[in-house]
Amino acid sequence: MKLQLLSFLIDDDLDDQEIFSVALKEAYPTMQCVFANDGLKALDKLTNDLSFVPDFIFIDINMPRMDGIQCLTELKKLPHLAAIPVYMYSTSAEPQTVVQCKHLGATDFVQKVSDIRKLEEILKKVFQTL
Amino acid sequence: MEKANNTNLNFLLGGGEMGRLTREKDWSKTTLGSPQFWSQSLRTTLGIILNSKFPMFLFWGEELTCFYNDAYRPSLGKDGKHPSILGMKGADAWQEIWHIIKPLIDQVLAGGDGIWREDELIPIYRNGLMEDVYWTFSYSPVNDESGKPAGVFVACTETTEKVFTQKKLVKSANELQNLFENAPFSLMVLEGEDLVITLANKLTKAITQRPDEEFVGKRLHEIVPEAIEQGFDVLLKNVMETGITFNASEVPVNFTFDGKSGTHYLDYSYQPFNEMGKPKGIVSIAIDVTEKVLARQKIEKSEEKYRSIFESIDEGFCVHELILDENNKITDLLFREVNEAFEKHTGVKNAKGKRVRELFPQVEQHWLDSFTIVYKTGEPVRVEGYQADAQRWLTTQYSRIGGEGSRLIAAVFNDITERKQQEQKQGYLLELSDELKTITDPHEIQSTAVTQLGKYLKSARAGYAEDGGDGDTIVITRNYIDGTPSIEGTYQYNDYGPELVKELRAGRIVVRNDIANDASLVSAEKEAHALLQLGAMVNVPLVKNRQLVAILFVHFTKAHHFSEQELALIEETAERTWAAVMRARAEDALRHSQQTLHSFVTTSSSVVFNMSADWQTLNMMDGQGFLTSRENASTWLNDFIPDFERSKVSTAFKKAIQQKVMYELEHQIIDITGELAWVDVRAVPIFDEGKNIVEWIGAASNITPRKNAEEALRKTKEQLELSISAGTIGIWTLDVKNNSLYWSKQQCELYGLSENEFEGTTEAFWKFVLLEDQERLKKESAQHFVDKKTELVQQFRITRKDGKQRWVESRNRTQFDELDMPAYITGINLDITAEKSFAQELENKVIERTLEINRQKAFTETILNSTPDLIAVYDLDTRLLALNKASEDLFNIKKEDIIGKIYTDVFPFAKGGQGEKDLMRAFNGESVHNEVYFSAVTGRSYENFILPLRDETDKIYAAVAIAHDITESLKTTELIRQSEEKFNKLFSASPLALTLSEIQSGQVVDVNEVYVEITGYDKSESIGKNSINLNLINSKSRKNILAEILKNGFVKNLEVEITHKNGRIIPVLLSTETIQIGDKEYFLSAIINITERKNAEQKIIESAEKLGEKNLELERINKELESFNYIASHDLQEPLRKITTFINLIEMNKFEKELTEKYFYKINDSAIRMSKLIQSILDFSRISKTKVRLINIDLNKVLADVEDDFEILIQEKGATIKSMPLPVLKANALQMHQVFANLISNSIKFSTKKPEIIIEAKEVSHKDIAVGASQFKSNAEQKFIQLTFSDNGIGFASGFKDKIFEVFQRLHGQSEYSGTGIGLSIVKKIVEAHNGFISVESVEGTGTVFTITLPKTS
Repeated sequence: MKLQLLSFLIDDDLDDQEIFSVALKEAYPTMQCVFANDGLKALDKLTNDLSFVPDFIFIDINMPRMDGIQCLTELKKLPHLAAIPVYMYSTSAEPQTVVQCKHLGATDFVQKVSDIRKLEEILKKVFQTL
Repeated sequence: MEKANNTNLNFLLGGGEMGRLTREKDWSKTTLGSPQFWSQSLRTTLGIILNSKFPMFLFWGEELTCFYNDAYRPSLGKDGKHPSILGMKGADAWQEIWHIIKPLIDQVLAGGDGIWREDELIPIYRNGLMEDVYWTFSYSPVNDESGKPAGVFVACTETTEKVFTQKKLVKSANELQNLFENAPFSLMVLEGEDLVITLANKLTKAITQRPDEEFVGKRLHEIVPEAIEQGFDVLLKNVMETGITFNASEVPVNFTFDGKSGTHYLDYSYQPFNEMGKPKGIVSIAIDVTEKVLARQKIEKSEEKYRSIFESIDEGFCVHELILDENNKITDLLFREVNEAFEKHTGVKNAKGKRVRELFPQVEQHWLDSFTIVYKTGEPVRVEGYQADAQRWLTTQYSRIGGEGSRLIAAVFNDITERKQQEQKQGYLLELSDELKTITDPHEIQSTAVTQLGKYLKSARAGYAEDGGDGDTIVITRNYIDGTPSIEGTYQYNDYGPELVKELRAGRIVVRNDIANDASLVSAEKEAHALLQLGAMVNVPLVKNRQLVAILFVHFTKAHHFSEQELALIEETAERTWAAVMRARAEDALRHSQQTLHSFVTTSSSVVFNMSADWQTLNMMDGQGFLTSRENASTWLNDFIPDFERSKVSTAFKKAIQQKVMYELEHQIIDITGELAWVDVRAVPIFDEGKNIVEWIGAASNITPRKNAEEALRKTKEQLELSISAGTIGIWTLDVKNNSLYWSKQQCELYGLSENEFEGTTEAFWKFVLLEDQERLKKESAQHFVDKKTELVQQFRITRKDGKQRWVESRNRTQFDELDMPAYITGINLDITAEKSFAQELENKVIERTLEINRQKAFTETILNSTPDLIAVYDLDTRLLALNKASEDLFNIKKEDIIGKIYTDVFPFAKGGQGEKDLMRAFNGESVHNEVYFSAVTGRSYENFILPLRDETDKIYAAVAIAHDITESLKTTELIRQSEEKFNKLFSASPLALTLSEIQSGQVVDVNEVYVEITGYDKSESIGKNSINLNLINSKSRKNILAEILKNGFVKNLEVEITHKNGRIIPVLLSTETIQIGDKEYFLSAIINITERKNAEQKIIESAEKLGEKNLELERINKELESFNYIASHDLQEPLRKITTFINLIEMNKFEKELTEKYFYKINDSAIRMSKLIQSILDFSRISKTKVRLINIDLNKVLADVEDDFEILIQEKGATIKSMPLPVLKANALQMHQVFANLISNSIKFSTKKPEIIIEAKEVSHKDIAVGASQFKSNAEQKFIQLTFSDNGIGFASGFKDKIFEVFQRLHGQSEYSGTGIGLSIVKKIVEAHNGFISVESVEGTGTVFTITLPKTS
């Protein structure tokens, strides 16, 4: 029985990692958060550590080496994660990109916004799907 | 000596003057003695002589004493023998002719028969001189009572006059004969059903090619059997039967005449002539009109040549005639000539003969005024314009045909539509690009683009609809409208209908040319379209990243067929609009970011017919009011061609079909009114590629019926009149009451009875009289009894007992009783058979002669009066002697009124004219022939002959003038000549260079002025030579031309180069085709100098290149803008967002000191990063080719400067930079510095070890840089400098080789390595701005090598 809920943020920007964790704490205090600095590292972890099964996965789009969309594509190929909701987490939410990501299997799109409270609200809504 | 018979001297009673003289003469002194002693026979004879009205003479007795009567007297003339020879001895009286007549007298007296002499010349002395006198006479013996001849009775008549008349007649006939014989026309007279030739002159014999044969008296078919074969007999018989003159014009015949051999052209006329009201024969006249025909043919040929040329050329041309008002102001233009290409080019149909205002009522005066210069100065004018009907752009060159005052203007059209369209399209796109570039507002861009497009296409509506971003809606912000409602607003995709949207989403253009009739639309859809006033539309989708982002639409209210070009243009516009909109949005975003940052941190283009190939069907003929218009007529031969012409026509077309040559024939035709008309028909075969005849195109022209020209005929001479009379004398007495008739012995002899054999009754007498004379005699007698004249003279025929018939003259007197009843009748009978038969013979001869003369006269008059030519005869005083009917009709005068008058009195205005002079020439013996003579009297033109008429002494006594009216034929010739001149002028005035050359030799036959201008060779240098002689065309071009001709039979707009005489090479378009002129084929070549066109094309190419460059630049800019867009929406947003967030967090933590410090540090970081980003972007955006200033820079110095800049960093990281000596390069110093700085800093930054950087340079040639070399337009000689920067840094996976140069492609996390992600992009852009290129090789964890290749410039 798993009691502790777990979010997995894949983002190369350390500032954003911090901002995300601050907002997360407010939105769902008991939620744990694990970070990965790029897509390759995240996939490495998810593939090799089968015990690591996050409840939510957030992926930044603009990343070096492997960008968020490639990462999403690869991630969706892993069967044990098929049911896990994956959210794209990015500054720009161009409709084309949104449509593309949804098409690739993303649950939804979470925009990096300036207002941290808004981020908290968005995250609360995400977690309400539980 | 006789014993005196004094009982009666009655015999001397009467007898007029001679009776008196005879009575009064004292005969006692003669050997005859006094009359009372004269024998009865002398008395009786003298009685008859003196009382006879016939001229009679008597030699009597031994001395042949002379007696004569009154009737004889005139023969003795005045001052001659009368009256002295009365009673003279014959030998004395007729001294001068005694030697002639004495033997005759002796012969008669010797008991011989009477003598009869006709028209014998016996000159006698009279009228004071010896005169030649002709006589017809009989000498008869007169017996005395002893039954022996005692005297000679002479009945005679002077026939001098008759003989002279006959002589004259003969002379006249000879003259006529001579005239006919040598006439300049052929004359033949055929008589009777057998067509016996009764006259044929020299020319006739020449024409039938039998110059030496005797024609007269033979039948036509004996002499000219081929005439029968050719159906002439039927024709001639037809003329005889119908009495209708047959005419034929310009019939070609081969013969030799006057040394001229070959084909002669003859005008024929077959005229019937009658005798006694019955058809007698035919006068055939043929006039040689060869010279006229040849002259006309020459002109026609020339005219045809030019016409063929102009019908053949592909350039449209027309001839205008200016219509001027009284002030010489141009009010309208008439289309005089147009060729086929004219219709094709201008779309104007059937313009010929119409006026411009008629065809284009809205034409403006100023357009007409533009012809004034051409008309007045002759300077050609060139006009460029758009022909809306044909949708073509045309340049038209207007040139005056002819010299000053000529109102003919030639217009030659040149189709420049393609060039124009291209120019327009290029112009439109250039303008669009330029305009859109300056606009920053995306909606303004859309509006400008669709407005330009809408106007250019003349559409009713155009717009740019953008995707609403939600995949459901589409937004039209602004649209261009022209008379239609705006449809700006937001719409659902579904409104378009699923099918349409599906097409659009798939990126396919949807075109509906005719919505109202579009079968793929249901009526509801049509209604929806109608609501928007849509007749036609096109929707161009813009699909980017597989997403439909926008639709550019163009609407027309009516059906509109979108051309390929239009669709391409709309697509291009759509792309450009999208690109411009994207650029604007990116710029806008960038601007917006900058503004936001500032607010946060500190402070930014004639009867024609058509015949089937076999001539069985007349496909089409526009009769032009002359012939009946027909279509698909297989009965045309029967319908149009009169039966007598059919075989001729079919022979001709069969020949034309067989030989594949032009059909040409003059024949009669049935015109629209059903009358016969003459036509000249020509038709040319139209061939398919296989040289098979497909059809015939022909023209039939109504040739003015040519006149049956004829020649002179003669003056006729007059008839003669003759009379004559002469007899043995019998005496009779009738006792009326007792019916007792006494006949003397001589009387009985006269009747063939012996003495006393006569029964002595009147009944016995009547038995002798011929029945047909009896009634007349009885009537005369009865009348005589009433009239009671002294003497009754009767002539009648009797049948003698021996059966011989004699003529008898009876002279008798009647004695009446007291009751006035006839009692006794006494008379003499004289056998006048000799005279009678003489007179009869004479009469017969006169009748015969008269008949002959009448016939000749009738024949002559037939000719004279049936000819439409004017014939008149003048005497030496220019008095009119004769005039034919045509002249009478023309002058409206009666022959009787003017004959004998001097002709200048009749026609005063002819005085001093040529006619008078020509007459004088004729009187001087000259045969005058004027080919063209204009008559002031009639106001018409003639071909005329004035021939002298000579008498037997060769003296000229008159002149005959024959005038053949050629006004109509002149008019025709003049029209042809004008036409020829017109076409000739067109040929020479054409703005196309034209040459006509022989097919075999290639020799030039004719060239025009423009040709001379283009080639530099004048006419004399060109004609007779070919292009090889002139070195006009090089061998390669010649090969191309020949290959085309061999392949297609023609050359069409082949681009070749010709060498001008001065050596200059001129690009031309050459078209060559074979045309038929007459029966010969030629090459007609048209050369258009396309230097100008070439230049224009070059311009287009240049402008296309410019456009291409612009497009490339646009593409590049767009790509950059895409990046900028991304930057603006992402990279620039990031620091901004962070700044906001951290400020937010500071507030949330209530400015708790430690956290606030931390967050401010982060805020500062973000701001610095953002400013670096913006600086980089600005740097990046400033780099552009156009802005690069190139100077020689020493790369060694650049490197040293960069090392200086990074001194600290180098020290910190312990980096080493090794470099070989670097070259001096033409480049932008600052930018080169940046390249070195960016590459070196990257190498230092992305390294885990001590960085080692090696910089090398080498010169390479074109072949060494195969990769990327295509970017260089340079040639193989181009040298390059290659710089390599190698490091031992972290490197990257080879998959990122291309991505690395993209803006903001950081390959490493921000956490590990700092950088804006734009440095390499800048390097790449700088290198490309220097026309170089950059590549990279890297091994992850080992190092990276950047290679920069720059062109070496001098």
